[in-house]
Amino acid sequence: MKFINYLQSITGISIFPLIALIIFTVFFTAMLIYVFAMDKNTVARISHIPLEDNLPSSSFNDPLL
Amino acid sequence: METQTIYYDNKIVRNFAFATALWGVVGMLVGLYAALQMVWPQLSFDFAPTTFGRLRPLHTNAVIFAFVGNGIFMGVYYSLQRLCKARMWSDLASKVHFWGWQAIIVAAAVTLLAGFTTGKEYAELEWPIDIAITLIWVVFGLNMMMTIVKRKEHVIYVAIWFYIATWITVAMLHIVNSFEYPIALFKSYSYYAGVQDALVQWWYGHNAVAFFLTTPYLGLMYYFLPKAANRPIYSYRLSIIHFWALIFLYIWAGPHHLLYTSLPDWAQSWVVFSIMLIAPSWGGMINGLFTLRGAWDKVKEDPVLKFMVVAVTAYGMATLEGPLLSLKNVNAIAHFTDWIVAHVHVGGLGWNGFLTFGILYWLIPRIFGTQMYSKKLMNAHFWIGTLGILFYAIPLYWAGFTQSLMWKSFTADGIIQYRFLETVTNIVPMYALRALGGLMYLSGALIMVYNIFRTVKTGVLVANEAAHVPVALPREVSGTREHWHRWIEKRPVQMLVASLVIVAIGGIIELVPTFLIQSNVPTIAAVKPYSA
Amino acid sequence: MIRPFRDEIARYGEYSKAGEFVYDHPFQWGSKRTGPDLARIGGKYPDSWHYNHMLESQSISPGSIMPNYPWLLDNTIDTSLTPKMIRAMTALGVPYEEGYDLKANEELMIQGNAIVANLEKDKLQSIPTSEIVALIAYLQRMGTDIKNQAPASLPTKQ
Repeated sequence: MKFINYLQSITGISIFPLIALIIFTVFFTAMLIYVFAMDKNTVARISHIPLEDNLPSSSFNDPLL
Repeated sequence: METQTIYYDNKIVRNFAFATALWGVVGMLVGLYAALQMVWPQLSFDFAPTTFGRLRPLHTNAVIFAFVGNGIFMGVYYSLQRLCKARMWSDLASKVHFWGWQAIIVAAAVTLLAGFTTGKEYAELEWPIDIAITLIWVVFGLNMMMTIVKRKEHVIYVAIWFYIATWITVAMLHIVNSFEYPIALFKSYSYYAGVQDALVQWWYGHNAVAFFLTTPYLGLMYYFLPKAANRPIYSYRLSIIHFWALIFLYIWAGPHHLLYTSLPDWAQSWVVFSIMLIAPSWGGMINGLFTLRGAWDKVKEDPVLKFMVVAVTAYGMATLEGPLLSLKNVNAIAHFTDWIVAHVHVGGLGWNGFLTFGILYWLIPRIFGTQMYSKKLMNAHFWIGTLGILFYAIPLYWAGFTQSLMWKSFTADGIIQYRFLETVTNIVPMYALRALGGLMYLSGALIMVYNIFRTVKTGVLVANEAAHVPVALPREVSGTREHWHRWIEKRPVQMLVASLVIVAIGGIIELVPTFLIQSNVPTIAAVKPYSA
Repeated sequence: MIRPFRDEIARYGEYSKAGEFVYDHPFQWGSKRTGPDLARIGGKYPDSWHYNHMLESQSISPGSIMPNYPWLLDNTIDTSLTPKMIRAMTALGVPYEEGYDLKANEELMIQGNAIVANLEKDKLQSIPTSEIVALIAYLQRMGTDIKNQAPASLPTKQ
């Protein structure tokens, strides 16, 4: 049997693309909101990660550091 | 905080670095040989393995999967350990990965020269090698994911996201496109036929560019550019948006390779995504270049940064041109011509090549505990390489444009003006200039190999580099509820799944309808299976 | 792959249709025209033209940058694989009639001998199972199926 016949046998496959697009739109919007709401210090800390090979940079609000 | 001493594995980084340099030279040499044959076809010496048809896939496979492939692994193995504050999960897995990949390259070279091919661009290798690639790719992925799991740093830095997305997407593309029906050890038939095969092939082909030549190198850029400039990336926020937008949009871009072909029109209309791609691509370029704001005096002094600046600029040029080429009226002129060859070489020589050189120059002296042997030679390499790119690309743009216009010329009587052969002989001088550009670029690479050779001789490999890291992952003290995206950021498996979902969306929407709707490929009664 | 442009139709012939490739595992559209498009090469030149052209393209087209393929004259195809190839195609959905896998080689020899006889008229020596004969058979079939149906007037772009 050809490959396409397997795909055709999935019930309601025609709706998959729509669902997929909705997943992405929701995900992307939520991601944008998150990015712009990010805490400034967190951003600064994360962007310094590559510059430190040894100890991790001060952890989030870590009272020990 | 309680700390312990661990050791980063530099030996594996060195191995991949040497392999990168070696295969780079080999791949470029084959490219130069093929380029010379377009001027002097007698250089094939009437010998099957050295004809253009076999050298061309050897060249593309060597520079993409051997040169850039080893370059990716070099950069990933160096940066991943440091970003995770952990040694690679398994030395054995690292070794299997390294030697397995080199064996695949050798097998690829031998079979391609012997004439075995599946006939699909950038996926020419026959099924036993396809299976070997899959296995080694899994070893690499496992080694990478387990290293991330045992890390001593909360956040997974954005470079690693690119590595994860690269790994899962390349796995998906390779498996789907390699569906083939074997009839002998080195002979198989593609599972798909005609239009469907074309769509799957270019979904793969374009995303080989996206997820083998672009996303892993962006990951490397996000690590090595800040390292070399000793300053953080311009905007980490931008890098997050850049990442998700890029991996989502890129996967749709395949059909722009099939404009005006027999692919149904609606499938060709997905090229709107190719045009949108310019936004995240330039996001990446801006993030790279702006990292150097206020540090341009450093760039003047440091050849490593010079290489990186040209690399990021070439990335910007190539990703501006890409969307332009997917406009139908531009594509009508450029497709089937050397314009496309020029375009990919701006990306290949500029972005991939120069970023690799920059990383090699930065990394080799560090893992050998020394300085580069000669800064003069680094600068010489930089200039001859940059000129090489120009000498390569400009004549080919000219050749492509000229040939296309000649093809489309009619006489006043409405008859085709030029025979095909006339359009070829007309651009042969351009081919000669292109070969000169290639020779310059290769010479630069050879200068680098010599420079690295001398550097390595003055230093000693720090095979295991000590680092002080926390005994346990520092506990995160946070008053607020954990944010959902942070939840992804800290968990490699979730990141992997999220990336897969995002890239699979494009794949599913693009490919499935072509398989389902019979009317997409109207059958023609007169077309019969091949027979006598 | 001939695109629906005036110049391509004038140069190569009718533009390519999706239905022409339904049995092509894999598709062979190509992505770069270093030489002219071969989608409708079938029937355009005699067998002997292809023979000489593959042997030494410059003898026919001075200035051509195509390499010579002299080994095609000496190498032979492995006909023991033919039934297996046909069965593979059938498994992939190509509608060969039942039992064609065992008849294929017989037809192959008839077709090969016809090409050999054709070449002989031009004093060119070959054998029916040589690679050059197999290649000529393929080239002469390229894009010809569609000519067997009533020509339709189709709109062209540009």
